[in-house]
Amino acid sequence: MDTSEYKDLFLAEAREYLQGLNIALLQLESDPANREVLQEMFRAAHSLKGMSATMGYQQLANLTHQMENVLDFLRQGSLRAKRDVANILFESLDLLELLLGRLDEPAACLEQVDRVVGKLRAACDGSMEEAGLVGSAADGDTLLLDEFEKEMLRAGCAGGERARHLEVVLDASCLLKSVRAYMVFKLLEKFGHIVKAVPGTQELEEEQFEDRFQLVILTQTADETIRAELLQIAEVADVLVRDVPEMVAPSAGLEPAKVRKVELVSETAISQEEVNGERRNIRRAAEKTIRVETDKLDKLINLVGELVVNRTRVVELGRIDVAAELVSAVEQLDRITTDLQSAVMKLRMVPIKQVFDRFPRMVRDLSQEKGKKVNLEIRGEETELDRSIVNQIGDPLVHLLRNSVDHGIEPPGVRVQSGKPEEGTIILEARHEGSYVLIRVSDDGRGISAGEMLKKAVEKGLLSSAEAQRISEEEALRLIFRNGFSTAEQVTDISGRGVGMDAVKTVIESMNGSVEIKSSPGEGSRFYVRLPLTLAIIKALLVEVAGEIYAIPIESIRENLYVAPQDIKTIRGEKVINVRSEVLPLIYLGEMLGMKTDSSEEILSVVVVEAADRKTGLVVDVLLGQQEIVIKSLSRAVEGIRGVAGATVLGNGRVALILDVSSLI
Amino acid sequence: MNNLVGKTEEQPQDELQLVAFFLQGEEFAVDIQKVREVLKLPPITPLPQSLDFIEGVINLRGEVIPVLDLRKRFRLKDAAKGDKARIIIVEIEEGMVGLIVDSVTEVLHLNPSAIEPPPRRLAGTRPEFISGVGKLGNRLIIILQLEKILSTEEQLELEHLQLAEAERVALNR
Repeated sequence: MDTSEYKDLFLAEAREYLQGLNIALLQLESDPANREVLQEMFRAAHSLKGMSATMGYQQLANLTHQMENVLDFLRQGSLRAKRDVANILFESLDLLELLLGRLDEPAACLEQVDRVVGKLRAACDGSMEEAGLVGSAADGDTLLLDEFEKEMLRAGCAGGERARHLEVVLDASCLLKSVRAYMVFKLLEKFGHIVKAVPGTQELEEEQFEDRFQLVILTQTADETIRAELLQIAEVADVLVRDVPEMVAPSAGLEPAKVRKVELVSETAISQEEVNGERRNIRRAAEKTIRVETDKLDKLINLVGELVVNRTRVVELGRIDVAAELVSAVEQLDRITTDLQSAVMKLRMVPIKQVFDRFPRMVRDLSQEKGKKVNLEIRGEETELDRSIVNQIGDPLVHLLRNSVDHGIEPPGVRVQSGKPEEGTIILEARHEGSYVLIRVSDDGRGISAGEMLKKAVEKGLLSSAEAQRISEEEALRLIFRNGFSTAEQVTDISGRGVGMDAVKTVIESMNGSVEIKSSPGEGSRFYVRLPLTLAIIKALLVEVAGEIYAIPIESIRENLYVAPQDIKTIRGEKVINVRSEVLPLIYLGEMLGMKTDSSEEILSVVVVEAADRKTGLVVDVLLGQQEIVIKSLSRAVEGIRGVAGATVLGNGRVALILDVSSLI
Repeated sequence: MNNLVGKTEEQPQDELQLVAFFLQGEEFAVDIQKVREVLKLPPITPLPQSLDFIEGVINLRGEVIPVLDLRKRFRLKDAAKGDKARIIIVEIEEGMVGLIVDSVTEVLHLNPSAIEPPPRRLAGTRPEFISGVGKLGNRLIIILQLEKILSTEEQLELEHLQLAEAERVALNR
């Protein structure tokens, strides 16, 4: 079977399971007795195993199978979730992730898989020794006969029949499993009658079993005859005939060869029940959500964007025309389009949980490595954000969190000395605030001292000592985002990976967001990241320069001014204006963009913009007004033009360029 | 455009089908497989600080597509764009790009045997842009290849030097 077309789907689902396993394992680590979590993990591992085998990814199947075994032992209580076991499981998850990334190289990581599988096996073996007896413990679970069935068996036995427990194993390659099961049933009816089937007949018909099923029958025929007859059926690989435990006192000595079999029986029997339950869950979930290719979604959003632009045009025409019916029809169209737009924009929204979910693991590993005790508290993970923002916000948050663990939280000893709890707390919180999302990363660590920041800045030559005198505490803290500034005494493995706080700020600002810091020495630091809900549609001010219309994102605009020529001063050959005792450099947008302008206007229109903490006045010809615009990327053929962030299509069908303020000034 | 494409269906397979156009009196053509459509000149928004032959961007049913002036690209005389001027939208590796030409004439069918390899320099255009010269009756048609149409002069110059170097090495051997 060619499965390549399902590969993306497989990957997406597998990653979800993997994420779930990571979270559950963390939960398990703090609460080893939690059976529900174990159950959930077992199911996830089982599903992963099934999926991988179906897709023909042997390494993955092998690894997940061993994980499933370990989890099964944990679940049954024959193995305890001690730290070493958890670590092996974490290692397996890491390897799983690695394997998922290299699906196309089946031979990759062979050694690692062998090594981890070995560890997992060893964990299982250890558990078996702990449990002492393997067979009997597992055996008890295989068959649960209800009172009615037991009564039937008792009656049968009294009538001279024998209760037999059959396990029928089909070829792994068997395609028509339900047909084979039916043939087995048909044949057995010749010898006696079937009291119970595990899984049930319904599931057998629907092929909801792997390669084996179990039956309890009443018969007078000898075991060997039954076995031989059943083996005549095509694709029946093996048949095991045993006593029914309830009917006979458990035989003390099972042959060693069979012990392993029994263990497997218990596994399949249980997972079968679970798989059925899980399938039901998946079906229920399937009714609520569907998977859609993001390309299709983007296309839809693009079209709705066009519609929104055209609506604006029609609404404007509606104002000119006086026919009352047209006006009301246009109003109706306006309302529907607005609703459609917000509904479609919601399609792009995904919970920030997708990003947050990987942090507990990261913080755990990091704090272990650093010998610190850190509790990461996550709040508001259901907060929804545009998909493209969620995709980009991961790295900056990783850096803020690493920073908190590495520089913020003190070692346990230091914390105790300063009267704090030994375990530090980092809170990662997201919430909506107007049309923005606010993400807060706060820690109760050592905090940042404004005085020290200033000292460092002067040492590094970022500030003159005179400037340092004037600067406010807030501004001093903001120095952390300056290029070439790092407060850590030594560059560590964690925070010294080339991504400084200035990079954090740059990434966030590139998404039209902002980042702020508050800190008090000894009490900890708080970082506030503010992000727009969406990137696809923004509010912009339209301006005209040299006959062309340009859009400036509202987010970077501080105010609009009209400036008389005599108010323009020249400092060191550069034109500046004075706005409320703040000196702002002036940029003539037309010249900047290399356009011919005849600025014969008496009074200049100036848009004050801010980026990277720098304010600048942009001189334009005409201020046209504010509008929602749909951002379109420029073709690859012409990308990377300085000062241009993208383009949009105006109501009249013409293209207007969107200015990138941060690269302009 | 629909008419142009419609005619091509019944032709034998080995014939090349080309969209022919004029540029300063010379006849050029591009492979029809690369051509998406032909438009009259829409309003073009200039792109500041881009390569000089990039005329700007246009809106093609909601998509923003860069347009380049082939006269400028080939260093031909700049001329006012008349009524017959068209934009040929072609698909190249970088995406869709519009080419401004003086006029579009027809869809040609050329037998590959009627195509000769390009001369070294022709009508001011660089050899990189030409895949061959087609003969149709007494018409000579310069057939363009579009792969390098967006490369800067510097990139082309560099490739030239590398090519010359390779030739020199080969000759010395």
